[in-house]
Parts: sequence; C-alpha cells; structure tokens
Amino acid sequence: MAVTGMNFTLLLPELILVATGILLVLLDLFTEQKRVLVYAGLAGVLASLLALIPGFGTTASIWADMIQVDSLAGFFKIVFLAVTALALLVSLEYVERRQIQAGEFYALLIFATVGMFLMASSLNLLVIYLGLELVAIASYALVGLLKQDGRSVEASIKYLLVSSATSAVFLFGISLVYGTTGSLALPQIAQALAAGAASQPVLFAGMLFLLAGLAFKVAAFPFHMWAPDTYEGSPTPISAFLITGAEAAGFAALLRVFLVGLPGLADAWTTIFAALSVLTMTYGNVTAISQTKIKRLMAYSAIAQAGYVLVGLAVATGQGTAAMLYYLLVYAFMTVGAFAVIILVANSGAGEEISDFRGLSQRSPFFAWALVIYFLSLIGIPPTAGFFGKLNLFSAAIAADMTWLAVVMVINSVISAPYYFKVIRTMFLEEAAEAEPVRAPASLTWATAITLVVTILLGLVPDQVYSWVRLVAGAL
Amino acid sequence: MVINYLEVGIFALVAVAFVAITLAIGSLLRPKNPYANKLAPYECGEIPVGDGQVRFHIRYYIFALVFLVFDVEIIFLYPWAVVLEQLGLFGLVEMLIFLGLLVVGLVYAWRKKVLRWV
Repeated sequence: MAVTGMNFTLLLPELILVATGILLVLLDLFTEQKRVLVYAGLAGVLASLLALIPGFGTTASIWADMIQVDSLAGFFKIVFLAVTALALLVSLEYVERRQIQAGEFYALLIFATVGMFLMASSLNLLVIYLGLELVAIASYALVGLLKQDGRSVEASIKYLLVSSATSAVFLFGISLVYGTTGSLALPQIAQALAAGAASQPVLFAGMLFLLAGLAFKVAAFPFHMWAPDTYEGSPTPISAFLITGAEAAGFAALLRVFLVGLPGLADAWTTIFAALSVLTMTYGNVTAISQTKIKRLMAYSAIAQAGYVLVGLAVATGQGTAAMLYYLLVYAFMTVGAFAVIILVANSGAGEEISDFRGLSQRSPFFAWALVIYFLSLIGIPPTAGFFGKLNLFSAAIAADMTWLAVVMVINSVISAPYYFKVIRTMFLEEAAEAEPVRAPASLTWATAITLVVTILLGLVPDQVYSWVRLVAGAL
Repeated sequence: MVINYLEVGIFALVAVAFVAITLAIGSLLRPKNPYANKLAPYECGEIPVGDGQVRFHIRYYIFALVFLVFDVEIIFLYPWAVVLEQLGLFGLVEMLIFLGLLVVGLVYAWRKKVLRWV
C-alpha cells in the first residue's frame, strides 16, 4: 500500500510533538507531581528539535503534497519550538500558583504547537486552514483556563466568537480561490493566475477574504479588536505564547499564501499590506501610550510590532521576507522575555498594573535590567536585536522604493519610546511600597537568561543568522 | 465559468421541487384519519409525559459528546473492515493507533470523573 510514499523521517518532528501531547494527558492522570509534565514537555520539544536535523536543507513535498518540508518550514518550526519551550518554562510557577489544571494546560500548549507546524509547513490551503483551526481550538481553552477569573472567561469567549467568524471568512476565501483556479495547492493557484485567471473579480474577492482572515490572526488593524481583551484576560504565559507563536504562524501562512500562491495579484495586495502596516503600527503605538495595565500595554505593543512586520509583505521582495523572518525570530525572544518579568512580578503577589513595577530595580535588579533590555529592543535601540530587526525592515522598504513607509516606521518607533520608558521609569525612579527582594524561581531565571542572551547576541553579531534567513527567504 | 454552475442551479431546483411535489402528491392521495393517540409524539412506546420543550440536564451534553466520538469511530471501522485485506498489516496498525488515541480520550474522561453522575 502507500506506506512507501509516506516519509516518516521528515514528519518525525510533528509525530514526536503529538506523542508528547498525548503523553502529557496520560501523565497528568496518574501523577500528582505536575512539574514532571513540564520536564516531559521540554524533553519532547527538544526531541522534536533534534528530529528537525535530518530534514534540514531538503525540500520535499510529502503525504500526497499535503505537507511541505523546506527551509521556510524549518525556520518557523525552530521559532515555534523555542517559543513553546520558553512558554513551558515561564508557566511552571504560574500554573502552580493559579491552580490551573496542569495536564490540560501543557498538553494543549503542545497541540497548539503542532497546529503552528502545520500552518508553516504546507502549500495546501486546506491544510493551512486545518493548522489554523488546531491552534485556535487549543487556544480557546488555554485562554479560558483561569476559570475563576471573569476576565479570562470573557477573553476566551471573545476569542472563540471572533476567531470562528474569521475562520469562516478565511474558508470562504479558500472556496472562492478554488472556484476560480480549480486548485487548493498554492503553486497550481499561482500557475492559474499566470495563465490569466488573475483578472477575475471573484478571485480578487477571494484574495481579500484570505487577507482579512489571516489579518485577524496576526491582529492587524482594523481586525485587532479581540486582541487586547484576549491578551489581557488569558493566563500570562498564554498571552506570551499567542503574541509570539500564534502570530508568527499567522505570518508564516501569510507568506506562503501571498508570495507563493498569489504573486499574480501582487500589485493589489502590496498596496493593501502597506496601508494595513501603517494603520496597525500607528494605532498600536498611539493606543499603548495611555494604558495603565502592563498586559494591555504589551497587547497594543504587539499590535504595533505586527505593523512593523507587515512592512515585509508590503514590499514583497526577498529582502523584505528575510527582514520579516529576522524580526519574527527576534520578536519571539524579546517578547517572551518581557513576559517572564511580568510573570515574576505577578507571582510575587503584586498585580498586573504598571504601578506594581515600582522599585523593581531594588527588589530584583537582574529582572529590572532584563526588562530594560527587552524594551530597548522593542523600541529598536542599538545594540539590541530589535534594532537590527527594524533596520532590516527599514532598508527593505527603501530598497523597494517605499521610503515613505520607512519614514512612518521611524516616526512610530519614536512614538513608541514614551510608553516603554514609562515602565522603565516606574521601575527605577519610584519607590516600592515594600522593599523586600523578589524571590525568583529557577525556571523564570533560566527563561530570562536565555532570552536575554539571544536578544543581545542577535544584536551584536547578527550576520550569521541574517545570512541564514536570507537563504530561507530566497528559497521561498 | 458561470455556465458550469448552471448544472448546480438546475440540480438545486429539481431537489426542492422533488420534495415539494412528493409531499403534495402524498397529502392528496393518502387517507386522512387523525385521532388523539395517533397525533401524540412517539417516545419509544412509552406514554409521553410533560412538555416537549423542557430543559435537559447539562450533564447529558458531556455523555452525548463521549458517545458521539465512539459512534463516529464505528462508522470509520466499517469501510476499514471491508478493505482490511488489501491494506494488510499497515492498515491494522494504523487503525489500532487511531483506536488507541480514542481510548486515551475515554481514560481521560474516566479519570476526570466525567462519567460519574452526581
């Protein structure tokens, strides 16, 4: 039978993750030691990472062309695994303190990662949709796991309603594209477009639906209204996971769908992405200024950052794609790092207001300085990684004759500085109500140390990684 | 392109017309002899009690969900059983994995005391 046609080696990372997820469900049922789940999850993530090595550098379409193994998929899988591993680390204490059901929490986290894998590693619209749903369904439950907290439940329901509606929009887009081109495979769609299907108004409508559906997933303005509430209400590690992992998966799908499937309509969608990019970054930054809750601030900051990343799609060049990939990688580390500090403060008994960060520089200098580095990186100040990420996007915009977009980016970076500095000022210049040092668990220290090292290294020696993402982008 | 959808349109019209016409012919031809017992809703031979529009206990939902999974599983087993000889060992192992995954779900429901009626 078709056993020979199924390349299990190339699918091994996914299979390991699925097995890990199931193992976590079973482990949870038969042990009271919930920390074991985190260790087993980390081991699974590491095994999955190792299993990526044999398929590295190969480009193959497996499982009847449903799964695409190539360098772009490889790049995103590494990002997803890094985000998942860090999310597991920062969750350890949080889950225990909030008495969240550990088995469900960790298993769903792993299953959501499998969904992200599928989103990044397929050239088939339906498989991309399947991955999107897997991420979404796991996330609905994850967001609402703080069952006693009304905001968490509200966030979950809001996310469920908006996300289902947008999934329907995305599916409708798929049906229109399929109706006009006769294929679900992105390369064939591109061929049909080149053969003259591009002029059909129905196809244009399909493209708009696909764009809107995915724009919701990356929380681009004006499709962002679910994001602040969802990111504020959900358990903090899940906010970090969704902002970095799920958004990166959304961008992976955007890259595949638009650069591989719909290059024939590039004239139209580059303009739309440029407009979305400007609106998204400006809206995110301007709204973030007046926030008093740290998670809401991070949510609006995430919207703004998504705007920066959209620049890469607006220019639609290899350089733009490379800059996007680099920024997404950097963004994952600096954002999860910032959330690690937020979790530390929340765990210490203080709340999630910005004022709760008062005097953190005395209570825990290491974490206070770490947050300074992450925020400098988010603003884009050298020598942090965020600076190089923005510089790449900036030069990609200029190279593509979109200097105005680059200028808007710079203006936005300036606008963004005050709200990050507001938090830094609170940490260093305001006295804490209690001067007791914050007790930092090893898991949070590790997560912060790792993200800190990566954030600084990617800023000091970016060449190696950047030449790699150039290769990845060139192969798309 | 549009002409391709003509068949779909005609088919949809025929489908609607077929139901309407059959029902109309039926109501014209069949004998009509209604009485109270005959008009009562059928509840598996039991005498109906109370209103049809009652609130069900929310717990039924979880039972229905667990039932549904295994109900659908049986549907998958039928075509698999028909072609099992051609699939050989691979088919057997694959189905066992599938069943194993469903059993994990049942074990989960069991250990989480979902199956217990409180």
